[in-house]
Amino acid sequence: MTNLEKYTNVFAEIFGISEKQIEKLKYQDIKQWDSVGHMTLIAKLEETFDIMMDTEDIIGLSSFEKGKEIMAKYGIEIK
Amino acid sequence: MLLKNKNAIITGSNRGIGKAMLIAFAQNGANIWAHSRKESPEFTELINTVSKDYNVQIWPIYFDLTNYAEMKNSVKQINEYKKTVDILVNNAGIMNNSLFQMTTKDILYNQFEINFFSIFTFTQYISKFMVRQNSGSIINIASIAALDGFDGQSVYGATKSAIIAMTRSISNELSLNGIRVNTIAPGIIDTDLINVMSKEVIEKNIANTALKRLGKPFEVANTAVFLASEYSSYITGQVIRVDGGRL
Amino acid sequence: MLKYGSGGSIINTSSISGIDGNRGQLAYGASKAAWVSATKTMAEELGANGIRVNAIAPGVIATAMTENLPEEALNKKISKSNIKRKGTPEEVAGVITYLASDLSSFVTGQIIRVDGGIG
Repeated sequence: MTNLEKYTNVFAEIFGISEKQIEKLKYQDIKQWDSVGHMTLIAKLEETFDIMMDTEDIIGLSSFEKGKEIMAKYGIEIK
Repeated sequence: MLLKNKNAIITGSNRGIGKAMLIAFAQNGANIWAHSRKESPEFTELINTVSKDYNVQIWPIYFDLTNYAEMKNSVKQINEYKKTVDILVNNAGIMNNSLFQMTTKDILYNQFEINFFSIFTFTQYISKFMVRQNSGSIINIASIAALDGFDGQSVYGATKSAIIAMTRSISNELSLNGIRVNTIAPGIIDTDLINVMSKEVIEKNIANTALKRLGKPFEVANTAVFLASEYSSYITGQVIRVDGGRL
Repeated sequence: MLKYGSGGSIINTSSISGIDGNRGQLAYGASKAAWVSATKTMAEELGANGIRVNAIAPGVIATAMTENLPEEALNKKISKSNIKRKGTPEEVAGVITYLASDLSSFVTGQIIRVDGGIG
């Protein structure tokens, strides 16, 4: 599985949505991505990619796209 | 054995109440990441002995609470074990008493740094593991100083009060992820920490308790075992005073 | 206990209604509140004899007693808790076991809320 597939899967699984809805997804766009859903998302991303995110990055992961930039900071290329 | 097969982190486990917790948790079957500020032959011997005596695994972790790089590194190490983190006991802390108008900025900032800010950050890290597991018990060690107010403890009491407020708030937030968070407020316990008190003050304090004696470190540790165990599964957001019934 | 001189542990049953109050539970709450005061007084009076006295203040527990209370009112209370369900009798028993045993040997005069985080 590519990193992009793994990354997309996390969003799909945590929020229970189809991959089509994910591409342009932003924080608070859907009910599931509230602050609680956000922490669950972060926990799953950290577990999937075996990284530990700094608080600033946790706060900064405000969209599916932005998340790819942030993951790169931890040496994970999402593609 | 109330904690069989559970994995616990205990900070400041090299002496005093932390050491009693190390032993009490091991007696109850828990494996432990035993934290101390730095490595020492005494600490290594302690964890080897306790591990052997109670047939549990004890893994040492070393970091200075005020060194966030060391702390983050230790959290990464704990993550490497790929084991569930079931219990966190935030026990490490300092007490530096001074009368209010003689309290320097250093005393003020330093105690908040160690007794509150570091615990806040460490708990942010560890609670994330618990969120993944959708279970966990966090036990914070405060003090009756937070609740009753004693001369010379305007800072110490305030740092412990901060812990109590934090506990109450995060017990709400983290309950959504199956995590319980509680505080223990020990009274006057027979450890090195009370060496700063004069004999008269200690006697006055003893007279002020219903049980008319000092508490022992294992008595605080046993309440931590209770809060870590399933016995307390319907208890969260609480402060339990272990103070011999202060009058 | 005083006669046998070996210390002991007394556990009184209060209720969150005794501490927080509750619509429709004026008499029940007041009677349970009495235990809050009584527990502390008993702890003070009996402490020197090594007898500990504590109380539990259970929240909404799944027992015969709560079976007959209006579902809506119960659910409203439960929604205020963190652990969003009724407590079980076993969970209350766990706390009683703690208070009766040496695990709580330095704990006396306390009211322990067993309420899933309502208060």
